[in-house]
Amino acid sequence: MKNFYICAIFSTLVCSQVVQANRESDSFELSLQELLEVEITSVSKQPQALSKAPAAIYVITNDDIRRSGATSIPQALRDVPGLHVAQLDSQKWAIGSRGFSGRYNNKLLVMMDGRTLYSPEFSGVYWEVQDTLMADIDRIEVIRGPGAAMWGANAVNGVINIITKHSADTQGGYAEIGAGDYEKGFASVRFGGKLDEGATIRGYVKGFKRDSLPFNDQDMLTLQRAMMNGVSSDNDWGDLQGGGRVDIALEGASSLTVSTDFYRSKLQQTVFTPTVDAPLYGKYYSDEFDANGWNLLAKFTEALSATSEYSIQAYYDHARRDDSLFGFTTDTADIDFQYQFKAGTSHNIIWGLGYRYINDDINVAPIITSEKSLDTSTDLWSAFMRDEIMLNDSLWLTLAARVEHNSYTGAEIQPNLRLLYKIDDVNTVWSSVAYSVRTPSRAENNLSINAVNILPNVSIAPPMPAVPYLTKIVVVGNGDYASEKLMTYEIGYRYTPFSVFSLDSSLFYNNYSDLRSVTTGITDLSTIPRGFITQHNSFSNNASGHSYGAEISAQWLVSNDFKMKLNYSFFEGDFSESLTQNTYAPKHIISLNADWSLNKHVGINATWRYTSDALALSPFTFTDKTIGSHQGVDVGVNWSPSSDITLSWFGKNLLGGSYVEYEAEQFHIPYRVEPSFYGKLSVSF
Amino acid sequence: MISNIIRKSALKLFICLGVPLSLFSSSFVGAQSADVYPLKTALVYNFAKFTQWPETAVSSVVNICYFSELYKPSMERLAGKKISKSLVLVKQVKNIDEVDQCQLLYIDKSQREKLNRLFLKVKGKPILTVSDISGFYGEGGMIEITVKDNRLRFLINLFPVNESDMVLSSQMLKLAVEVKR
Repeated sequence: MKNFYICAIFSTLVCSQVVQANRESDSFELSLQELLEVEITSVSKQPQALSKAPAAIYVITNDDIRRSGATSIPQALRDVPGLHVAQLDSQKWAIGSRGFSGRYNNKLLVMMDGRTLYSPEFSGVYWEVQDTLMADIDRIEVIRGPGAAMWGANAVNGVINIITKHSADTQGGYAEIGAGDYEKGFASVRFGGKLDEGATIRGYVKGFKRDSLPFNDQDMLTLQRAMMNGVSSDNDWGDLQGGGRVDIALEGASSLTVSTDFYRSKLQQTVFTPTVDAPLYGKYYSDEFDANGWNLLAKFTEALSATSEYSIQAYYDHARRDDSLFGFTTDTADIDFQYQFKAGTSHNIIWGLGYRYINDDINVAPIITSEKSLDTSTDLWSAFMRDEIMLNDSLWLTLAARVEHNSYTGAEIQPNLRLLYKIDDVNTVWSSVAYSVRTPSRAENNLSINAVNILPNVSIAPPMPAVPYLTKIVVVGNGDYASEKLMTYEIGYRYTPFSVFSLDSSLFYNNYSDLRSVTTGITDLSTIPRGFITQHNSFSNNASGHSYGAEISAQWLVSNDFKMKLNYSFFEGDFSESLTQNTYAPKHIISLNADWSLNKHVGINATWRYTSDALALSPFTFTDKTIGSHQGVDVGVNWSPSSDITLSWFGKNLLGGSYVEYEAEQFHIPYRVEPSFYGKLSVSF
Repeated sequence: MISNIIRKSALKLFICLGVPLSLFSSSFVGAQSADVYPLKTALVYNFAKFTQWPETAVSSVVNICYFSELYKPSMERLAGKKISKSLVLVKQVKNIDEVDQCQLLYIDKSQREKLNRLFLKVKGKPILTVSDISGFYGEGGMIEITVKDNRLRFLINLFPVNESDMVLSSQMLKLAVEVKR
């Protein structure tokens, strides 16, 4: 049976290879005039060339986004090998690369057109406010593993680069409108035009309303259910966003890009705060709040010769979140200089300098206290250099290092060595060794957080005796708290036996040290008259662990109009007990995508995915809980009666029932993901 | 165990769907429509036929250079063809400094970030630059390929062409959507 399959695969591959060859031969015999009359087939698919980089890279194209019907960036990231993407509520997502998944995942760096989306006060990404017109995204590059030597601290487990289209590629008008059940309604419009010869512009506006995800109190602990008692679980939201971009080709081989975005969201969430009131000593409440922000970015690039070029980029980013649990205003100003050149015949060198100023003001935070001002600012200086050395025709060595100086831990150096060996046209192997750090968040350095209280007569950690009083746990920021450190060893293998089939695989071993832990500190009995004792604990670096895993991505152009993609991630880890962050990724994540163009008007896209059990921090119990495995199917149908109009229907998470996909740490409640659908009309004009 | 079953069934699905489809789907393309990569490659080949390079650059071969891997299968098929008496040689280039020997350079839209360096490099040189990067001919390129109503179109900027002492045939200029003189 097994042999039959192998044989079947092989013969089909050869067959599709022949097809590929056939369809390319004849157009060379046509005259110029005849060529201009040939219609380009809209049905035919193209193989995506594998990256040549010595790193585990996966690219999501504009076409992938369009066909899958992803309406947000997290949705577009589903099915990337090595990533665990899970929806927590209508707005919030947990996205982790090679483990450390969670709402507060601090080990993944995310950037949009060179602007960092990583939030410094909680070291993570507020995915709900990172958006743009999906149709204007050129591609999303996902690098698993450390990118710190190039991109900076916190790019420990991965880097996600969201790259929007050049404004010359978005000329003319585009509009889309749609609605469904989760997507209650959305509309976008973009217009692109020409300012002058070599100067183009575009502007867009988009808005949407998304419904609450359903909540079932059986997904919570008895204690949580009692605290929840009748509180609204609404988590619906709406957003209005706009922006634009100008690209200008200037005299003297230089160019300038200026872009801006602004957004205003209205969100509803249910959050937890501990209290000192018997009998539950904690409560959930429903919170409706606004989040808004804007950014402005300019980048100037000038070529000095055929092999050298420099660029200067500056941006300003303002974000405000009036969350009643954790409300803040953050202002970021960043300037970067980069210079790339070729030295001799074999060295491709790029180096850069950067400075970032972050002002961060916590406006509302009932659970946070600080000895320092709640309005503080930090500085980040950085310098990096990368040398790509061609040792011979088939062997490349990359040496890179980045030095950064931050306000909390001072200087950090992050080196990386990579080697790529192109065995022949079909086989390539690469390997990497890297050291990277995750620098402390503001909370870890200088804020005190009362995230939970322990009920009277309950011992939570066995050495600590149960006391007849409520114990208020306050985790105190530690000025000596160090960066978390990671040594990563990777190997990768790429195999392209035919132009219509390719396989990309990688293996990794991550060794973490100085991971965040909590150390028991002084017990304050002076508050007994008020009915509780206060236990001060502090952040420390006593945890460690390691993880290993594999990722495989195979794509196969079965025929001109049919393409399949199989992505698989395997993860295994071993970490210190009672870590204060989610460390484990699901052991297996598999997705199988099929994309079929029935004819020049109709395309069908279907994805089946399976995620095995996941471990997540359980609120209140200080242990991990298991989130059950789940699977589901996404289906999309695109119908284009003419090249300017497309009518689409998308079904998401079908056939999987109703399930909790993942759970946010401590402050939120679990929501369920259910089948949903929406329809969309898009028009180009 | 469970995961094993899933892996096996995923493989089966991969094959069971793939095999019949590849055998029975309408894979063969009719004469009236074609894939975009070979079509653009054929257009590039035609541009070479209608270009006269200055005497210094004329030799018994025409070097056609291109950047991206995506065009490799179709570009490779041009190798060995003849343009009048010259033999067509095809070369995949990776860096801008490798283009000195090219008579025609095709840079596709995935390579936009190389444009500044390219224009600096080829300025005044008899290298016909062709691209499907939007705005190419306005920014200093010679021929830009575009798509309108699912058909290929091209625009010509004669300033850099004249500056490099190349001559494009009037037949080709007539077929261009726009010619900047």
